[in-house]
Amino acid sequence: MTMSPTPRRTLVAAAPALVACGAVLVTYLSLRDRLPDRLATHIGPDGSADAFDSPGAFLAVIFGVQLGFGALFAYLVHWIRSVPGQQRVLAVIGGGAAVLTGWMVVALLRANAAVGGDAGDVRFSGWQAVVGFAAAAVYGLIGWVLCGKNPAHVEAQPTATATATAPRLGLRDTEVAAWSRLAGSRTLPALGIVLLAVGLVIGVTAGWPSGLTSLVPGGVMVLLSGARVTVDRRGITVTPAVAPWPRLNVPLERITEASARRVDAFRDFGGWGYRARPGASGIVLRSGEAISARLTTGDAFVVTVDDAATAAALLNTLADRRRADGG
Amino acid sequence: MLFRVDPSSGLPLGEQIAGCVRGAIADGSVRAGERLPSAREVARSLGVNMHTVLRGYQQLRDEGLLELRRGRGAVVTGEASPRRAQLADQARALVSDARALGLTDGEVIALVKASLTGG
Repeated sequence: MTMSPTPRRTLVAAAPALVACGAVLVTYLSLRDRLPDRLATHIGPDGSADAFDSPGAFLAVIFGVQLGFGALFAYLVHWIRSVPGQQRVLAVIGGGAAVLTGWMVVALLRANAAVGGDAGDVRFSGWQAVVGFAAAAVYGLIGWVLCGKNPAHVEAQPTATATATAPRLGLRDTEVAAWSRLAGSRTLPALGIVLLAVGLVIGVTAGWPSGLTSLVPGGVMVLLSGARVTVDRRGITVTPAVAPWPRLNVPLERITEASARRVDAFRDFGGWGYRARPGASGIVLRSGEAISARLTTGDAFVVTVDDAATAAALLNTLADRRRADGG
Repeated sequence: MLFRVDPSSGLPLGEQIAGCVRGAIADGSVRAGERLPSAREVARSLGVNMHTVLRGYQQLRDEGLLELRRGRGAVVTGEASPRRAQLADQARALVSDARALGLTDGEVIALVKASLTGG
Protein backbone atom coordinates (compact mmCIF):
# COMPACT_ATOMS: atom_id res chain seq x y z
CA MET A 1 0.00 0.00 0.00
CA THR A 2 1.61 3.23 -1.15
CA MET A 3 1.04 6.55 0.59
CA SER A 4 -1.21 8.99 -1.21
CA PRO A 5 0.90 11.60 -3.02
CA THR A 6 -1.78 14.26 -2.50
CA PRO A 7 -0.27 16.09 0.53
CA ARG A 8 3.09 16.35 -1.18
CA ARG A 9 1.52 17.54 -4.43
CA THR A 10 -0.56 20.12 -2.58
CA LEU A 11 2.72 21.57 -1.31
CA VAL A 12 4.23 21.55 -4.80
CA ALA A 13 1.18 23.46 -6.07
CA ALA A 14 0.73 25.98 -3.24
CA ALA A 15 4.10 26.52 -1.51
CA PRO A 16 5.56 28.71 -4.31
CA ALA A 17 2.70 31.19 -3.81
CA LEU A 18 3.66 31.62 -0.14
CA VAL A 19 7.37 31.85 -0.97
CA ALA A 20 6.63 34.37 -3.74
CA CYS A 21 4.59 36.53 -1.34
CA GLY A 22 7.51 36.43 1.10
CA ALA A 23 10.00 37.39 -1.61
CA VAL A 24 7.81 40.25 -2.82
CA LEU A 25 7.42 41.55 0.76
CA VAL A 26 11.16 41.38 1.50
CA THR A 27 11.97 43.10 -1.80
CA TYR A 28 9.43 45.84 -1.11
CA LEU A 29 10.71 46.47 2.43
CA SER A 30 14.34 46.62 1.31
CA LEU A 31 13.64 49.00 -1.61
CA ARG A 32 10.95 51.04 0.11
CA ASP A 33 12.94 54.31 0.39
CA ARG A 34 13.84 54.34 -3.29
CA LEU A 35 10.41 53.49 -4.72
CA PRO A 36 8.32 56.24 -6.39
CA ASP A 37 5.04 57.28 -4.70
CA ARG A 38 3.10 55.78 -7.56
CA LEU A 39 4.49 52.49 -8.82
CA ALA A 40 4.55 51.49 -12.45
CA THR A 41 2.39 48.35 -12.25
CA HIS A 42 2.03 47.35 -15.86
CA ILE A 43 4.44 47.34 -18.76
CA GLY A 44 3.27 47.88 -22.33
CA PRO A 45 4.52 45.90 -25.32
CA ASP A 46 7.28 48.51 -25.99
CA GLY A 47 8.84 47.95 -22.56
CA SER A 48 7.66 51.20 -20.95
CA ALA A 49 5.17 51.57 -18.11
CA ASP A 50 1.51 52.17 -19.02
CA ALA A 51 -0.32 51.71 -15.70
CA PHE A 52 0.36 53.11 -12.21
CA ASP A 53 -0.91 52.53 -8.70
CA SER A 54 0.00 53.18 -5.09
CA PRO A 55 2.37 50.60 -3.54
CA GLY A 56 -0.27 49.52 -0.99
CA ALA A 57 -2.92 48.78 -3.60
CA PHE A 58 -0.41 47.05 -5.85
CA LEU A 59 0.85 44.77 -3.06
CA ALA A 60 -2.71 43.99 -1.94
CA VAL A 61 -3.63 42.88 -5.47
CA ILE A 62 -0.45 40.79 -5.83
CA PHE A 63 -0.91 39.07 -2.46
CA GLY A 64 -4.57 38.45 -3.19
CA VAL A 65 -3.83 36.92 -6.59
CA GLN A 66 -0.95 34.79 -5.31
CA LEU A 67 -2.73 33.47 -2.24
CA GLY A 68 -6.00 33.05 -4.12
CA PHE A 69 -4.41 31.02 -6.89
CA GLY A 70 -2.35 29.06 -4.36
CA ALA A 71 -5.53 28.10 -2.51
CA LEU A 72 -7.33 27.34 -5.77
CA PHE A 73 -4.61 24.99 -6.99
CA ALA A 74 -4.34 23.32 -3.58
CA TYR A 75 -8.08 22.69 -3.77
CA LEU A 76 -7.90 21.41 -7.37
CA VAL A 77 -5.04 19.04 -6.48
CA HIS A 78 -7.14 17.64 -3.66
CA TRP A 79 -10.28 17.52 -5.77
CA ILE A 80 -8.76 15.55 -8.66
CA ARG A 81 -6.92 13.09 -6.40
CA SER A 82 -8.49 10.06 -8.09
CA VAL A 83 -6.80 10.94 -11.41
CA PRO A 84 -3.13 11.04 -10.35
CA GLY A 85 -1.72 11.77 -13.81
CA GLN A 86 -3.68 15.00 -14.12
CA GLN A 87 -3.11 15.82 -10.47
CA ARG A 88 0.63 15.89 -11.08
CA VAL A 89 0.26 18.22 -14.08
CA LEU A 90 -2.06 20.54 -12.12
CA ALA A 91 0.34 20.73 -9.18
CA VAL A 92 3.28 21.64 -11.41
CA ILE A 93 1.29 24.25 -13.35
CA GLY A 94 0.04 25.85 -10.13
CA GLY A 95 3.52 26.05 -8.62
CA GLY A 96 5.15 27.20 -11.87
CA ALA A 97 2.60 30.00 -12.35
CA ALA A 98 3.33 31.28 -8.82
CA VAL A 99 7.08 31.24 -9.53
CA LEU A 100 6.58 33.20 -12.76
CA THR A 101 4.31 35.80 -11.14
CA GLY A 102 6.59 36.17 -8.11
CA TRP A 103 9.63 36.61 -10.30
CA MET A 104 7.96 39.25 -12.46
CA VAL A 105 6.70 41.25 -9.48
CA VAL A 106 10.13 41.27 -7.81
CA ALA A 107 11.72 42.36 -11.12
CA LEU A 108 9.09 45.08 -11.52
CA LEU A 109 9.75 46.42 -7.99
CA ARG A 110 13.48 46.54 -8.74
CA ALA A 111 12.82 48.34 -12.04
CA ASN A 112 10.70 50.89 -10.13
CA ALA A 113 13.48 51.43 -7.59
CA ALA A 114 16.08 51.86 -10.34
CA VAL A 115 14.57 55.07 -11.82
CA GLY A 116 14.74 56.94 -8.51
CA GLY A 117 11.51 58.91 -8.36
CA ASP A 118 9.55 59.12 -11.63
CA ALA A 119 7.63 55.94 -12.39
CA GLY A 120 7.01 57.18 -15.94
CA ASP A 121 10.65 56.45 -16.72
CA VAL A 122 10.42 52.80 -15.67
CA ARG A 123 11.78 50.45 -18.33
CA PHE A 124 11.39 46.72 -18.22
CA SER A 125 13.42 44.41 -20.40
CA GLY A 126 11.71 41.56 -22.21
CA TRP A 127 14.51 39.41 -20.91
CA GLN A 128 12.98 39.56 -17.46
CA ALA A 129 9.99 37.69 -18.84
CA VAL A 130 12.25 35.14 -20.50
CA VAL A 131 14.14 34.58 -17.25
CA GLY A 132 10.82 34.39 -15.38
CA PHE A 133 9.54 31.67 -17.69
CA ALA A 134 12.84 29.85 -17.40
CA ALA A 135 12.59 29.96 -13.59
CA ALA A 136 9.04 28.63 -13.81
CA ALA A 137 10.21 25.82 -16.12
CA VAL A 138 13.04 24.88 -13.75
CA TYR A 139 10.58 24.82 -10.89
CA GLY A 140 8.27 22.72 -13.05
CA LEU A 141 10.99 20.08 -13.47
CA ILE A 142 11.84 20.06 -9.76
CA GLY A 143 8.16 20.02 -8.82
CA TRP A 144 7.51 17.15 -11.23
CA VAL A 145 10.11 15.06 -9.43
CA LEU A 146 8.89 16.18 -5.99
CA CYS A 147 5.34 15.11 -6.90
CA GLY A 148 6.48 11.50 -6.88
CA LYS A 149 5.32 8.65 -9.05
CA ASN A 150 1.63 8.11 -9.67
CA PRO A 151 0.32 5.30 -7.49
CA ALA A 152 0.02 2.16 -9.62
CA HIS A 153 -3.50 1.33 -8.48
CA VAL A 154 -5.99 3.89 -7.34
CA GLU A 155 -8.52 2.33 -5.02
CA ALA A 156 -11.83 1.80 -6.85
CA GLN A 157 -13.21 5.28 -7.41
CA PRO A 158 -14.65 6.39 -4.08
CA THR A 159 -17.44 8.46 -5.64
CA ALA A 160 -18.54 5.57 -7.81
CA THR A 161 -20.73 3.73 -5.37
CA ALA A 162 -23.31 1.48 -6.96
CA THR A 163 -26.84 2.78 -6.53
CA ALA A 164 -28.42 -0.49 -7.61
CA THR A 165 -26.79 -3.88 -7.48
CA ALA A 166 -27.33 -6.09 -10.47
CA PRO A 167 -31.12 -6.05 -10.76
CA ARG A 168 -32.89 -8.03 -13.45
CA LEU A 169 -35.74 -7.07 -15.72
CA GLY A 170 -38.47 -9.73 -15.63
CA LEU A 171 -38.88 -10.94 -19.22
CA ARG A 172 -40.94 -13.92 -20.31
CA ASP A 173 -38.98 -16.50 -22.31
CA THR A 174 -40.78 -15.57 -25.51
CA GLU A 175 -40.36 -11.82 -25.01
CA VAL A 176 -37.76 -9.71 -26.81
CA ALA A 177 -36.75 -6.32 -25.46
CA ALA A 178 -34.59 -3.34 -26.38
CA TRP A 179 -33.84 -0.06 -24.65
CA SER A 180 -32.79 3.16 -26.35
CA ARG A 181 -32.25 6.71 -25.21
CA LEU A 182 -30.49 9.91 -26.21
CA ALA A 183 -27.66 10.97 -23.93
CA GLY A 184 -25.78 14.23 -23.68
CA SER A 185 -26.43 17.92 -23.36
CA ARG A 186 -28.58 20.25 -25.42
CA THR A 187 -26.22 23.20 -25.11
CA LEU A 188 -23.17 21.57 -26.68
CA PRO A 189 -24.77 20.75 -30.03
CA ALA A 190 -26.24 24.26 -30.14
CA LEU A 191 -22.77 25.69 -29.51
CA GLY A 192 -21.40 23.43 -32.24
CA ILE A 193 -23.97 24.70 -34.73
CA VAL A 194 -23.09 28.30 -33.86
CA LEU A 195 -19.40 27.47 -34.45
CA LEU A 196 -20.27 25.86 -37.80
CA ALA A 197 -22.22 28.97 -38.82
CA VAL A 198 -19.36 31.25 -37.75
CA GLY A 199 -16.97 29.01 -39.68
CA LEU A 200 -19.10 29.33 -42.81
CA VAL A 201 -19.18 33.12 -42.54
CA ILE A 202 -15.41 33.28 -41.93
CA GLY A 203 -14.86 30.84 -44.78
CA VAL A 204 -16.83 32.94 -47.26
CA THR A 205 -15.44 36.30 -46.16
CA ALA A 206 -11.86 35.51 -45.15
CA GLY A 207 -11.04 32.28 -46.94
CA TRP A 208 -11.61 28.64 -46.11
CA PRO A 209 -8.34 27.94 -44.27
CA SER A 210 -9.38 30.48 -41.60
CA GLY A 211 -12.94 29.17 -41.64
CA LEU A 212 -11.69 25.68 -40.83
CA THR A 213 -10.50 26.81 -37.39
CA SER A 214 -14.18 27.22 -36.50
CA LEU A 215 -15.72 24.56 -38.75
CA VAL A 216 -13.65 21.64 -37.49
CA PRO A 217 -14.30 22.05 -33.74
CA GLY A 218 -17.94 22.90 -34.53
CA GLY A 219 -18.35 19.69 -36.51
CA VAL A 220 -16.67 17.60 -33.84
CA MET A 221 -18.85 19.20 -31.16
CA VAL A 222 -22.08 18.49 -33.04
CA LEU A 223 -20.96 14.93 -33.78
CA LEU A 224 -19.87 13.97 -30.30
CA SER A 225 -22.03 16.01 -27.93
CA GLY A 226 -25.12 13.85 -28.25
CA ALA A 227 -25.25 10.09 -28.40
CA ARG A 228 -27.89 7.42 -28.82
CA VAL A 229 -27.38 4.61 -26.35
CA THR A 230 -28.98 1.29 -27.24
CA VAL A 231 -29.16 -1.88 -25.16
CA ASP A 232 -30.41 -4.96 -27.01
CA ARG A 233 -29.46 -8.47 -28.07
CA ARG A 234 -26.23 -7.03 -29.50
CA GLY A 235 -25.12 -5.57 -26.14
CA ILE A 236 -24.49 -1.85 -25.60
CA THR A 237 -24.20 0.32 -28.69
CA VAL A 238 -23.37 4.02 -28.70
CA THR A 239 -23.63 6.17 -31.83
CA PRO A 240 -23.69 9.95 -32.35
CA ALA A 241 -27.25 11.26 -32.13
CA VAL A 242 -27.03 12.82 -35.59
CA ALA A 243 -25.18 10.11 -37.51
CA PRO A 244 -25.02 6.32 -37.59
CA TRP A 245 -21.22 6.43 -37.43
CA PRO A 246 -18.83 6.10 -35.59
CA ARG A 247 -20.44 3.20 -33.73
CA LEU A 248 -19.11 1.79 -30.48
CA ASN A 249 -20.39 -1.66 -29.51
CA VAL A 250 -19.75 -3.89 -26.50
CA PRO A 251 -21.37 -7.27 -27.22
CA LEU A 252 -23.22 -9.26 -24.55
CA GLU A 253 -20.57 -11.99 -24.41
CA ARG A 254 -18.06 -9.47 -23.08
CA ILE A 255 -20.35 -8.29 -20.26
CA THR A 256 -20.47 -10.10 -16.93
CA GLU A 257 -22.71 -7.72 -14.99
CA ALA A 258 -24.19 -4.25 -15.31
CA SER A 259 -25.34 -1.69 -12.76
CA ALA A 260 -26.40 1.92 -12.57
CA ARG A 261 -24.06 4.30 -10.82
CA ARG A 262 -23.26 7.98 -10.56
CA VAL A 263 -20.11 9.33 -12.16
CA ASP A 264 -18.38 12.66 -11.87
CA ALA A 265 -17.03 13.34 -15.36
CA PHE A 266 -14.03 15.35 -14.21
CA ARG A 267 -13.18 13.56 -10.99
CA ASP A 268 -13.67 9.98 -12.20
CA PHE A 269 -12.61 10.39 -15.81
CA GLY A 270 -10.73 13.68 -16.00
CA GLY A 271 -13.05 15.20 -18.59
CA TRP A 272 -15.76 14.60 -21.14
CA GLY A 273 -16.05 12.53 -24.31
CA TYR A 274 -14.64 9.09 -25.00
CA ARG A 275 -12.57 8.43 -21.89
CA ALA A 276 -10.13 5.63 -21.25
CA ARG A 277 -8.18 5.19 -18.06
CA PRO A 278 -6.79 2.15 -16.27
CA GLY A 279 -9.70 -0.05 -15.20
CA ALA A 280 -12.46 1.90 -16.89
CA SER A 281 -13.39 3.36 -20.25
CA GLY A 282 -16.53 4.73 -21.79
CA ILE A 283 -18.57 7.61 -23.12
CA VAL A 284 -18.89 10.36 -20.52
CA LEU A 285 -20.95 13.31 -21.77
CA ARG A 286 -21.93 14.71 -18.39
CA SER A 287 -21.81 13.91 -14.69
CA GLY A 288 -24.60 11.89 -13.14
CA GLU A 289 -26.40 8.64 -13.83
CA ALA A 290 -24.53 6.07 -15.92
CA ILE A 291 -24.66 2.46 -17.03
CA SER A 292 -21.58 0.66 -15.76
CA ALA A 293 -20.91 -2.73 -17.32
CA ARG A 294 -18.31 -4.99 -15.77
CA LEU A 295 -16.50 -6.71 -18.63
CA THR A 296 -15.00 -10.20 -18.76
CA THR A 297 -11.56 -8.54 -18.65
CA GLY A 298 -12.45 -7.06 -15.23
CA ASP A 299 -12.57 -3.50 -16.58
CA ALA A 300 -15.66 -1.32 -16.50
CA PHE A 301 -17.38 0.21 -19.53
CA VAL A 302 -19.36 3.31 -18.60
CA VAL A 303 -21.97 5.32 -20.52
CA THR A 304 -23.63 8.33 -18.94
CA VAL A 305 -27.35 8.30 -19.72
CA ASP A 306 -30.65 8.86 -17.86
CA ASP A 307 -32.75 5.89 -16.72
CA ALA A 308 -29.55 3.82 -16.52
CA ALA A 309 -31.17 1.46 -13.98
CA THR A 310 -33.62 0.12 -16.58
CA ALA A 311 -30.85 -0.28 -19.15
CA ALA A 312 -28.60 -2.09 -16.66
CA ALA A 313 -31.42 -4.42 -15.60
CA LEU A 314 -32.18 -5.29 -19.22
CA LEU A 315 -28.49 -5.82 -19.90
CA ASN A 316 -28.25 -8.29 -17.01
CA THR A 317 -31.33 -10.17 -18.20
CA LEU A 318 -30.05 -10.37 -21.78
CA ALA A 319 -26.59 -11.49 -20.62
CA ASP A 320 -28.19 -14.18 -18.40
CA ARG A 321 -30.27 -15.35 -21.31
CA ARG A 322 -27.23 -15.53 -23.54
CA ARG A 323 -25.31 -17.59 -20.97
CA ALA A 324 -28.33 -19.89 -20.50
CA ASP A 325 -28.42 -20.46 -24.27
CA GLY A 326 -24.86 -21.74 -23.95
CA GLY A 327 -23.52 -18.73 -25.84
CA MET B 1 -37.43 4.06 -23.56
CA LEU B 2 -37.94 0.32 -23.18
CA PHE B 3 -39.43 -1.68 -26.05
CA ARG B 4 -40.63 -5.16 -25.20
CA VAL B 5 -42.65 -7.37 -27.51
CA ASP B 6 -43.80 -10.95 -27.35
CA PRO B 7 -44.05 -12.57 -30.80
CA SER B 8 -45.98 -15.49 -29.28
CA SER B 9 -48.82 -13.28 -28.00
CA GLY B 10 -51.90 -12.83 -30.18
CA LEU B 11 -51.46 -9.05 -30.40
CA PRO B 12 -49.82 -7.78 -33.64
CA LEU B 13 -46.18 -6.70 -33.06
CA GLY B 14 -46.79 -3.19 -34.42
CA GLU B 15 -49.55 -2.74 -31.88
CA GLN B 16 -47.29 -4.01 -29.09
CA ILE B 17 -44.60 -1.49 -30.07
CA ALA B 18 -47.17 1.33 -30.11
CA GLY B 19 -48.31 0.15 -26.68
CA CYS B 20 -44.73 0.40 -25.33
CA VAL B 21 -44.38 4.00 -26.50
CA ARG B 22 -47.84 4.94 -25.23
CA GLY B 23 -47.02 3.39 -21.86
CA ALA B 24 -43.69 5.24 -21.70
CA ILE B 25 -45.41 8.57 -22.43
CA ALA B 26 -48.16 7.75 -19.92
CA ASP B 27 -45.71 6.98 -17.08
CA GLY B 28 -43.56 10.01 -17.87
CA SER B 29 -40.39 8.14 -18.83
CA VAL B 30 -40.63 9.66 -22.33
CA ARG B 31 -41.50 13.36 -22.60
CA ALA B 32 -42.83 15.71 -25.25
CA GLY B 33 -40.16 16.66 -27.78
CA GLU B 34 -38.08 13.57 -27.18
CA ARG B 35 -36.71 11.78 -30.20
CA LEU B 36 -37.36 8.05 -30.42
CA PRO B 37 -35.01 5.69 -32.25
CA SER B 38 -35.86 5.37 -35.94
CA ALA B 39 -38.09 2.50 -37.08
CA ARG B 40 -35.03 0.94 -38.70
CA GLU B 41 -33.06 1.01 -35.43
CA VAL B 42 -35.94 -0.45 -33.40
CA ALA B 43 -36.42 -3.18 -36.01
CA ARG B 44 -32.74 -4.13 -35.83
CA SER B 45 -32.75 -4.09 -32.03
CA LEU B 46 -35.78 -6.35 -31.71
CA GLY B 47 -35.10 -8.47 -34.76
CA VAL B 48 -38.44 -7.64 -36.40
CA ASN B 49 -39.42 -6.20 -39.78
CA MET B 50 -39.00 -2.43 -40.18
CA HIS B 51 -42.50 -2.10 -41.64
CA THR B 52 -43.89 -3.69 -38.49
CA VAL B 53 -42.30 -0.94 -36.40
CA LEU B 54 -43.45 1.72 -38.87
CA ARG B 55 -47.03 0.45 -38.53
CA GLY B 56 -46.78 0.96 -34.78
CA TYR B 57 -45.28 4.43 -35.21
CA GLN B 58 -47.98 5.40 -37.74
CA GLN B 59 -50.66 4.33 -35.30
CA LEU B 60 -49.11 6.66 -32.69
CA ARG B 61 -49.00 9.46 -35.27
CA ASP B 62 -52.72 8.98 -35.96
CA GLU B 63 -53.32 9.25 -32.21
CA GLY B 64 -51.46 12.59 -32.18
CA LEU B 65 -48.66 11.28 -29.96
CA LEU B 66 -45.85 11.04 -32.50
CA GLU B 67 -44.58 13.17 -35.34
CA LEU B 68 -42.90 11.25 -38.15
CA ARG B 69 -40.44 13.19 -40.27
CA ARG B 70 -38.72 11.73 -43.26
CA GLY B 71 -35.04 11.30 -42.47
CA ARG B 72 -35.44 12.82 -39.01
CA GLY B 73 -37.05 9.91 -37.25
CA ALA B 74 -39.89 9.97 -34.76
CA VAL B 75 -40.41 12.82 -32.29
CA VAL B 76 -42.94 12.83 -29.46
CA THR B 77 -45.36 15.71 -30.16
CA GLY B 78 -45.81 18.72 -27.90
CA GLU B 79 -49.40 17.62 -27.19
CA ALA B 80 -48.34 14.15 -26.02
CA SER B 81 -48.91 14.42 -22.27
CA PRO B 82 -49.22 11.40 -19.95
CA ARG B 83 -53.01 12.03 -19.75
CA ARG B 84 -53.26 12.14 -23.53
CA ALA B 85 -51.43 8.79 -23.83
CA GLN B 86 -53.75 7.30 -21.22
CA LEU B 87 -56.73 8.58 -23.22
CA ALA B 88 -55.43 6.84 -26.36
CA ASP B 89 -55.08 3.67 -24.29
CA GLN B 90 -58.67 4.00 -23.07
CA ALA B 91 -59.86 4.42 -26.67
CA ARG B 92 -58.12 1.16 -27.58
CA ALA B 93 -59.68 -0.54 -24.56
CA LEU B 94 -63.12 0.76 -25.61
CA VAL B 95 -62.72 -0.66 -29.10
CA SER B 96 -61.51 -4.06 -27.91
CA ASP B 97 -64.33 -4.28 -25.33
CA ALA B 98 -66.88 -3.36 -28.04
CA ARG B 99 -65.44 -5.98 -30.40
CA ALA B 100 -65.62 -8.58 -27.65
CA LEU B 101 -69.31 -7.76 -27.28
CA GLY B 102 -69.75 -8.21 -31.03
CA LEU B 103 -70.40 -4.53 -31.89
CA THR B 104 -69.66 -3.39 -35.44
CA ASP B 105 -67.34 -0.43 -36.18
CA GLY B 106 -70.38 1.64 -37.09
CA GLU B 107 -71.98 0.87 -33.75
CA VAL B 108 -68.82 1.85 -31.86
CA ILE B 109 -68.67 5.19 -33.67
CA ALA B 110 -72.38 5.73 -33.02
CA LEU B 111 -71.75 5.04 -29.34
CA VAL B 112 -68.93 7.60 -29.15
CA LYS B 113 -71.01 10.15 -31.09
CA ALA B 114 -73.89 9.65 -28.70
CA SER B 115 -71.54 10.38 -25.77
CA LEU B 116 -70.23 13.48 -27.54
CA THR B 117 -73.70 14.97 -28.21
CA GLY B 118 -74.95 13.91 -24.80
CA GLY B 119 -71.98 15.65 -23.11
